[in-house]
Amino acid sequence: MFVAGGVATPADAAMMMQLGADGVFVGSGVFKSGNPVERAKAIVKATTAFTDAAVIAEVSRGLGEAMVGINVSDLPAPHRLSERGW
Amino acid sequence: MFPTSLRHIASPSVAGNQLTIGVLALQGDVREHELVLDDLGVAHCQVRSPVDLKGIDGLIIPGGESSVIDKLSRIFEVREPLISAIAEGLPVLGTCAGLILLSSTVIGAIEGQQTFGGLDVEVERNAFGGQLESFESSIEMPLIPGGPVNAAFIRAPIIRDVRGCSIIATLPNGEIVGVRSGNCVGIAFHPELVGESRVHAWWLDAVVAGAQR
Repeated sequence: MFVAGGVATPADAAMMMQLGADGVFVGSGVFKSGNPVERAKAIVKATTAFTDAAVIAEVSRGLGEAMVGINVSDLPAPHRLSERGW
Repeated sequence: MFPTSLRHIASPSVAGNQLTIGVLALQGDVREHELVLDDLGVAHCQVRSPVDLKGIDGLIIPGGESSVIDKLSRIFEVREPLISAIAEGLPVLGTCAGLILLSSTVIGAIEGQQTFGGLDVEVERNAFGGQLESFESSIEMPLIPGGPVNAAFIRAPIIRDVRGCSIIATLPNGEIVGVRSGNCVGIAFHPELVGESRVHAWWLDAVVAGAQR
């Protein structure tokens, strides 16, 4: 089982592994972050050493801004997939 | 699943020895190897850092992506201690990518790809082709009692030159898919994905327990 969608931090990726995932796909979590290269490396390390809290904490430092979600209310109406449900 | 803890259960296949087998857990089908070891009643632990190598009686290098396991072994600084342990006689079983990582020469390696060594053989990566050419088969392993062995070949390598190593597994067409040299065993396929535990049982008895006698 692979997981994807909304993974933005090394801890997110490690938690997916702890919950039983075989692997983690990360796209915008890397590319929409402040320092994509370092964040990608950190997420790889955290995914590999997902049981080791010390490694996860260490690689989580100094990565700059993580991807930030966008509230539906901030999206222009024509960009919304639906007008319902929020 | 959630991190496995060490399980200390005596192995019926290795009569009285309390063995602990490490599984290199950087990437690949770690869990499936652990399930086979569970079936055989053998204690195991995951190996990601040099300290994890202490106290293990044997190591399984799983299938996965050999170039990724290579890179992660360097990032987590487990590569050099692992090479030393293999040279000092640590029993090792490599499946698929694990075979590639044990080989001295790799055909089709990516740029800069390194191996641990241990088996002086030449292997070809992705020798059957891409993912669509993956298949399951029964193969001849004369060392394994009970008839042909069930095996999954997933973007599997083939051993092209065995040099000084013994051949332990071949496909019906004669392609070499398993070798042993002393403490190192490498097979191109995955017994652990198709409910086959006899290869692990043989390795535990002949190579791991053998090293303790």
